[in-house]
Amino acid sequence: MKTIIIAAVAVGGSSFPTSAQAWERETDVGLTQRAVQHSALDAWLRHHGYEAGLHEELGLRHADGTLEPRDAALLGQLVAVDAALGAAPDDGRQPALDWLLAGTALEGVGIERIRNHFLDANQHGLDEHERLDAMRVRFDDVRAGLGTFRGAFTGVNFDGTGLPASRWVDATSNPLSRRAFIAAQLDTLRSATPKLREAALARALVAAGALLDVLQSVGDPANARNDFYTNTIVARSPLEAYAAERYGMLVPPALGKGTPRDKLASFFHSADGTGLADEVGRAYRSPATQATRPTKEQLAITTDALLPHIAAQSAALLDFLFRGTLDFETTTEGPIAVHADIGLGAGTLDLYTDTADGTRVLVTTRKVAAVPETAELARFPGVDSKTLFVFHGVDAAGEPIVIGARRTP
Amino acid sequence: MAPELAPAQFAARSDTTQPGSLLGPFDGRVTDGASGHPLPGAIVWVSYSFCQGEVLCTPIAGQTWSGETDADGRYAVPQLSQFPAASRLSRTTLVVYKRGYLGYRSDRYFESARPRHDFTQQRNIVKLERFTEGISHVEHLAFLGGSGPLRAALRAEALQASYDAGAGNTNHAFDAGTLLSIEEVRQATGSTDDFTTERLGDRARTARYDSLHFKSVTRGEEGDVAVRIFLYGTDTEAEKNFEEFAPSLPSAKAVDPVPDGLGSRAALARDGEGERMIFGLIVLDKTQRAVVLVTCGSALCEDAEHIQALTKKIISRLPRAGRGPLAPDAPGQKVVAPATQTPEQPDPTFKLREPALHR
Repeated sequence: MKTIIIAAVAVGGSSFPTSAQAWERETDVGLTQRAVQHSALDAWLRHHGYEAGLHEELGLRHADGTLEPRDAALLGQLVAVDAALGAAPDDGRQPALDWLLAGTALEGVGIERIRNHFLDANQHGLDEHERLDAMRVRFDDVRAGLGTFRGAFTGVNFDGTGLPASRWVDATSNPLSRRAFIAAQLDTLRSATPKLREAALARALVAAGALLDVLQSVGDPANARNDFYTNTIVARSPLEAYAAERYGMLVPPALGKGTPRDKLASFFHSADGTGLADEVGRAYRSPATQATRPTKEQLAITTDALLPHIAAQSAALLDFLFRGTLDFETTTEGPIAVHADIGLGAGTLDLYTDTADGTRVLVTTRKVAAVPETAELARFPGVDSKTLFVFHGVDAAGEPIVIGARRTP
Repeated sequence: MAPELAPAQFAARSDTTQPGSLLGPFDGRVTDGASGHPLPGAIVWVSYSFCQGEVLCTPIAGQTWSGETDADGRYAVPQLSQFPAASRLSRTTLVVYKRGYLGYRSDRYFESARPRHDFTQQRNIVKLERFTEGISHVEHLAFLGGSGPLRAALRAEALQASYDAGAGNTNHAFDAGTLLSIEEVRQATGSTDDFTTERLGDRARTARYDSLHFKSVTRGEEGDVAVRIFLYGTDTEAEKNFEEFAPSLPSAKAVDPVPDGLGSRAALARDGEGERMIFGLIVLDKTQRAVVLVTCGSALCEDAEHIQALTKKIISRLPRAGRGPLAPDAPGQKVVAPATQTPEQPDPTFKLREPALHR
């Protein structure tokens, strides 16, 4: 144990590990930066009226300067984020990109979150109790000290277990889950005032950034091999420390865009073995599963191959979260026909309009059945350019989705 | 009570190996890297990050300080005097920024992204280099991070980055980068090559045009794929352009019947012979009001099926390409191309690379 800590310090150059997540925070924020550059998020924002795209300033405060309690709580949490990462809001306000980065940074803070960032080859999350096979030596080594370490987790009843990462993203106990993202995305479209919609978009981006962080974490070999001890107790394990020292936030660019997928869980694990945790767990060894300590050259080769790949998968996830557009067609009978560019499952199509004072109000709502890609979703008479269509439900793969669109005049 | 301090990764001064203190105070001088003249009014911003926990040091708070250099380019950051209780100061980062110059971080160089080792707590020398054309504002912003006055000072650059991303057109939402990945190129062709991706250099990305170039790392252009996508205001306009361009491609023959997933009409062309042959497939997708031209070297696309598989993938993704609202489709309205270029007209030659582009 002592040897490992000393060795880790020698590589990391600091006796105080500043990170307890998989990749260190600057690496994760850097991965999200790279993912964004290969995603269509900038286009999505512009398409939804945020003309500066990723650089559009978004604030959490209401017009009268007040904050919703949940937003005050969010800002309270973000106080912990190092402002040097570019993800610390100024009085509840920062560019859209920085809200996304804030979500990534936030997801890596605290054992209550990072314990859920693991996914091994059996689709298990962190479970030190079950590790009696090849990990026995390592586990026995740490057992004596584990109680002491647990005592360090102030306020957290940590027992060496966690949810698999692929379940954590949908867990009700996760405040930055997909559920939180979808709810915020819906509020981004249907909230009554522009200020409320702006705040909701900031929340949606924070949740999206957090989801990216969970995926990026399983791109860490230790997390894909369930090596909590090496990766978290020792904190600065060689690979993560090397990546942070070498690149800071400027990690190598994404290797294009990763494979699009129709289910969130598939980004982590898929039956064909191409989920990120599948690939990384299969192809890379973590410090605890290596016989010898990796050389700097080996670390360089590993990070240079891994980081662009992770960023690419993260980019694909980002586009998955912000997928779908609605299209309109004036039919010969007059009413407007609505189509989506992806297959949709059952859901609700709401029509909103903006009143003269700018308040967005619900006009009508309609249940819609599943339709294939580009098929007609519904028809509406008397639709003008102030009408906003919002679909919320599931897509053809049964995944939750929100799509909003306004008919171009 | 002062926080526990992580060891500083910088020296107290340049004339000693004594480590500095993350608490500060910090002082130094900022000059123009070329002329050596002092730079007054440069933003100096410092971030302090605190964590808590004996082994797992979990971030709990951050503080920042900001100021400006004086008329002689000097800055002085006072020692930090207020801290969260029972905490450790794990990191201190100092950033210097002046508009028109590359920013400076105490922990890292911009160009190489490598750790910086010449920062000192006191008598620090900061030589700012001019921000020159070709440097990415997006990269620069990502490098600097920051909040408060630093972020405010970077606002103009953020707008420039936004402008760059939108190519000056706020309706510019078309991004071909979402249409095909390297992995999909490999899957469709059975190749195991490594590729780099970039846009083709033959015409600028616009609201109605974008391109992708998968450059083989190990082969010449016979191992490359190029994709050009042209969007139109109406399906009629798209078809008219397709009818003009398809016959102009070398040895073009209509694909009839058009296989499922390959749009409304298609033509397959060939240029060159043997190992230097390049396949071309031009497709009209009336639903998406688009013309797609894919060219693929024979080392990668050994037959027409490979290029068709690639093109089908692209066609299937067209609705997801982040396409922004197009110009109104008013009856009889003709969309006129800008006078300086004709972006709706594909280049009929199969140039995978412009001569100016080198590996």
